[in-house]
Amino acid sequence: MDGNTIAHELAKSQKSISVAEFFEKNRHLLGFDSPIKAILTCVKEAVDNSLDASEEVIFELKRRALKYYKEIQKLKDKNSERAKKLKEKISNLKKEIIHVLPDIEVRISEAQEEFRIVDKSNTRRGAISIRKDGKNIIRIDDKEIKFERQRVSNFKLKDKEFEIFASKNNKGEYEIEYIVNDLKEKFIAKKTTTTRYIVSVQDNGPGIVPEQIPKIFCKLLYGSKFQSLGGGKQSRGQQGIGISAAVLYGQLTTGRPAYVVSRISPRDPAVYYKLLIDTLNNSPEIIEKGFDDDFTLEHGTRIEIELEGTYLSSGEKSIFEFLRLTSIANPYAKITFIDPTGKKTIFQRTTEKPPKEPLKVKAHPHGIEIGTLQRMCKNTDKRSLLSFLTQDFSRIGASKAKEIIKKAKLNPKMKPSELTRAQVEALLKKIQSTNIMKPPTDCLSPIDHDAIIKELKAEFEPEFVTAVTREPEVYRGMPFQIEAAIAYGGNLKDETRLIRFANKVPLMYGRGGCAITKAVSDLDWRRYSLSQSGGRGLPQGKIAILVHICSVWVPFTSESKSAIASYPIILKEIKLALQECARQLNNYLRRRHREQRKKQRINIFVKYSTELVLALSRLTGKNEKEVEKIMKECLTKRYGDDYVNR
Amino acid sequence: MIMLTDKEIIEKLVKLGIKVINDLKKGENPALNIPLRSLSNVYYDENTGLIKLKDSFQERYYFNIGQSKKFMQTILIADRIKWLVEQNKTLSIRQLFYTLKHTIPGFKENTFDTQDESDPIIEDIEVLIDVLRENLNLFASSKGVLAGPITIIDSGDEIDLSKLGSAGYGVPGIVEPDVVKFKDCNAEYILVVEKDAVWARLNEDKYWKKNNCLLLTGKGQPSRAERRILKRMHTELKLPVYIFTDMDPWGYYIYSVYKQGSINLAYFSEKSGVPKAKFLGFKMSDVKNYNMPQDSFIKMGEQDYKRLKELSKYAWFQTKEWQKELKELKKFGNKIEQDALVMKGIEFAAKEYLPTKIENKDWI
Repeated sequence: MDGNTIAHELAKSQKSISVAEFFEKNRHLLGFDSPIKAILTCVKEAVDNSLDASEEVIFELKRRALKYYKEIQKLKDKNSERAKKLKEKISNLKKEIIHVLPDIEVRISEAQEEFRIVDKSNTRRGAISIRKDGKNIIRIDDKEIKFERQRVSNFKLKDKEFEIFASKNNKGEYEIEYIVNDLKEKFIAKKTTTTRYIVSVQDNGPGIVPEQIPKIFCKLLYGSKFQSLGGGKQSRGQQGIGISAAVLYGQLTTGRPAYVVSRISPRDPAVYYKLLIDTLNNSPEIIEKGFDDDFTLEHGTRIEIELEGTYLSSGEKSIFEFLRLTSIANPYAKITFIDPTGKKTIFQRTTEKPPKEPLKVKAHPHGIEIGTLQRMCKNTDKRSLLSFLTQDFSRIGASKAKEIIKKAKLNPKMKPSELTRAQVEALLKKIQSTNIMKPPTDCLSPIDHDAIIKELKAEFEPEFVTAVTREPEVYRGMPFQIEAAIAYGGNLKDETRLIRFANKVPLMYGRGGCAITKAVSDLDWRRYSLSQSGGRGLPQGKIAILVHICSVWVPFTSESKSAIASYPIILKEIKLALQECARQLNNYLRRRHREQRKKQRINIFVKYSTELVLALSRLTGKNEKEVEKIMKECLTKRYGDDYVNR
Repeated sequence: MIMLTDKEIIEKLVKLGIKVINDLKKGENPALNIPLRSLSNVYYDENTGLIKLKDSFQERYYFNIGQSKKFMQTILIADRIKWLVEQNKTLSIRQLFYTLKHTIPGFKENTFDTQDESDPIIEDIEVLIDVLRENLNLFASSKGVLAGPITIIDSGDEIDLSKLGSAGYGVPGIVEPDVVKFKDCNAEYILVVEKDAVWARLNEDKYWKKNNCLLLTGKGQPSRAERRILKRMHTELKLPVYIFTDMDPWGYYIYSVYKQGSINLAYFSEKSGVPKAKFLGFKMSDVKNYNMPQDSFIKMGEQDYKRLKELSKYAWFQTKEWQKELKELKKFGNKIEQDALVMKGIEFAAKEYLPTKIENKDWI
C-alpha cells in the first residue's frame, strides 16, 4: 500500500467530533434550545441528581434495616439480648432516615460580571441598559443611537470616568464602546437579550468521593445511571448526560468553570473543584481544587454553574413552577428556592415516609428489539444459550427456555455470542410467540395517592381533591404504573392546569404531543359535571389534573424527554385512572349541587315566611310574635342545622 | 253552593288559617286542599244539563319550592277577603291585587307581580270555602250590555232599559239580588248575541221593540255577571233564551258557556247555566237556506280545526244534532261570522233572519 488511495484521502477528513460540536448540534435533544429552557434544564438536571443522591442514602439505610429485620425473624427467641440490640439498631436507622430525607436548596442569582448591554428596545421601556455586577448603571434611549459612532453618555463609577460611544449597524445590532478615564481603556460589548445567572443547587446527599467529582460533572455519558441493556430500574434520568451537559452549556455561554463542593462525612473536609470540560477529549479539566471551609453541611454537595439564560419569575415554564411540581412529586423532599431578587420560598415536605426503592429488573423478553437482543448475546457472560435465557431475562424458567430454543431449532448448549444474525432473529421470533408471564412490578416506585393528595392540598388548598394509584401494567415488556389526581376549586386559578410527571420529574415542555394530554382530551368530561367545549380537550374551570407515569423505561417521544409516547395500553391506563378520579369529583360536585339546592329551598321558605306569618296572624287573630315563633320552630324541626346555619 | 252569612264566611276563612298554624306547630307541611278546576275534574250532569265539579283535589304545600309562593299568596288573599267581608266593602279583583302587591321586606321580590297571579287564587278560595266571589264582596269589571222592555232597580235606582239609547244598560260586576232587582218586564224571550257590533246593529234597528224581547251581549266570551243576570232573568222572569253566535268552534263554545257553564268555573254553573237555552245560529243549514254568498266564507285554520276536535269530544256536545253540526262544519272547512249577514242587506238579520228562525223554531 502506498497510502495514496482515495480511502486514505477520505480518512484525513474523518475525525471524531468534539463533544462541544455534538452539543451544538443536539442542543434541542439536551434541553438547551432556548435561553428560557436552558436555565430550567440546568436546574432540573442538578435537582434530579440531588434527589437521586439523597435517595441512595435512604435506600442504603433501608437495606440495612431490612437486613437486621430478617436477622430478628431468624432468631428463635425474639426477646433475646441480640434481638433487642437489633431492634434498637433498626429504630436508630429509622431516625437516621428522617434525618437524611432530601433537603435541597436552589438559588438563582445574577452573575457578578463585567459590563453588559441588555437590549430592551423591543419592550415597553425601549431602552438599552448597561449593567455591571447584575445592576443597571445607565440606560440609553434606543432613539439616541445613530448609525455613526457618537458619544451618548458619560458617568462616574468607583472613581473611574466612563465615556460611552455607541453606534448601530443596518442589521439593528448595537456596538457600544467604553472609554475609561483618560487611559482610553476600551471595552467593546455586544448587546444581548439574555443575562448571566449563577445556578446553585445544594443537597444533603451522601456527598461524592473527591476523585470522582471531575468525572461525574465533566464527562458526558458518565455515571451510574447509564443503564445496562434491556433491563434496568426506574430512575429520573436515563442517559447520564444531564449535569455535564449543563456544565458544558455554562462553559460555552460564559466561559466560566463550574464550581463543585462536596463533603462525604463530618470527619472529612469539604473539597471543592473549579472545573471545565475539555471539549475535544470529553474529559474534565481541573482549574482549581481546594478545601471550602464555608461549606457547613455534614455531608452533601453543591454545584454552581454560571450560564446565560432568560429567567422567568412566574408561569408554567418557570423555575418556581418546576420546583413546586418537583416538591409535589417528591413529597418527602424539602426544597428551598431563592430567586434572583433574594425572595425565599420553602416547599415543605408533607410526609416523612421515605420513598420505596425501585428494584433493578432484568429485561422482559416480550417487547425486546432485535438490536438489543443481538448486543445482549454479544455481551453476556453466560456460556450457554439456556443459561443466557434463564438468567439474563425475567420470567423465563428452564422449561420455557427449552421450549423457545426447541421452537427456534437451536442448540441449548451453544454459546450466545456465536449466534448468527439469522439465529438471533429466529430466537426473537419464537420468544415473541411464546406465552410468558408478565414482568414483575415491584421494580416501580409510585408517588402514592395519599401523598399526592396531601401535596395538592398544601400547594393549592383546593375545595376537593382525589387521587388514584393504578395497579402496574406492561407495555412492550416494560412494567409501568399510572397515578392520577384531580384537584378542584379553592385557591386554584380559573384556568385548567395539566400537571405531568414521568418518574417523579415534572414535564414542562412538549405538552401537545404527550400521551397524557391526549388521554385527558379524549375523555368526555361533561359526563362528570364539568364543562368542556365540544366534548374534547381540557375540561374548563378551577381544576388541576395530575398524571404520573413511572416505569423502568418511560417511553418518551424524543430524546428531549418531554412527552410520553401514546402506546394504547398507556393511554388506556391513564384514562382509567382519570375516570376514577373524575367519578369521585362528579360525586362531590353533585353532592355540593344538592346541598346548594337544599339551601336555596330553605331560603325560599324563609323568604315567604315573614309575609305568611303576618297574614296568618291577621287572619286568625293570633299574636304575630307567637305565629313567628311557631314558624321558626317548624323550620328548625324540618331542616335542622341547614336552617339554623343557613 | 249554599248561601252563607258573612259570619259563616269569616269563620271558614279563619279555620283555614288555624289549620295552617296547627300544621306548623306539629312540624308538618301545611297543605291546602283545593278542588281542581280543569277538564279532568269536571263532568257533564245530564240530569241538570250543567257542567259540574268532580271531587279531585290539588294539594298546595308551603314547604314545596314550586308551591311555596302560591301558598303564601293564597293566605294573603284569604286574609284580605276576610277583612273585606268584615268591613262590608266591595273591591274589584284588580283593586284587590293592588291592595296586596308590595315588596317582601329584605328581598327584591313582590308578593304579587301581576293580576294574573291573584285572579286564579281568588277562584281557588271560592272553591276552597265553597262560596262564590260575588258573596265575598269581590267583582270583576263587566262588559256586557242589555236592552229591552224591562225596568231594573239597581242599587235603589230604577232604570227603564227601553230608554237607554244606543249604549244600553251596562251590566254591573255584581248582579246578585241585593244589588239588582227586576221590576216590570213585558218581554217574551231573551236574545243573546255574541258580538257587540251585532248587538249595536240590532239595537239601532230596535229589534227588541219590534220583537218584544230582551237583547243581551257578553262581548265575546261572557264574564260572570252576564251569565248570572241571564240565568236570573231566565228563571225569575221565566223567559226562553236564544243564542246567536259566529259559525265557528269559538262561537259554539260561547253558546255552551251560557248554556251548560265553563270548565274553569264549573262550580259556578248552577248559578249561571241556562240548560234550556237554544242555539239559533249561525249554523250549517243556514248557509244553504239563506243562500250565503261565497265571499262571506273564511277558511278555517289549524287552530280552528284543533278547537273543533276538542269541542266534538266534550260530553255536552254529544247530542246527535251537535255531532252532525260539527262534522259538517269540518267538512265545509269555512267559518262565517254573524256580522256577515249584512252582506244580505243591512237589516237582514233584524227583519228576516232572526224572526223567521224563531218562528220556525229553527234551532238546536
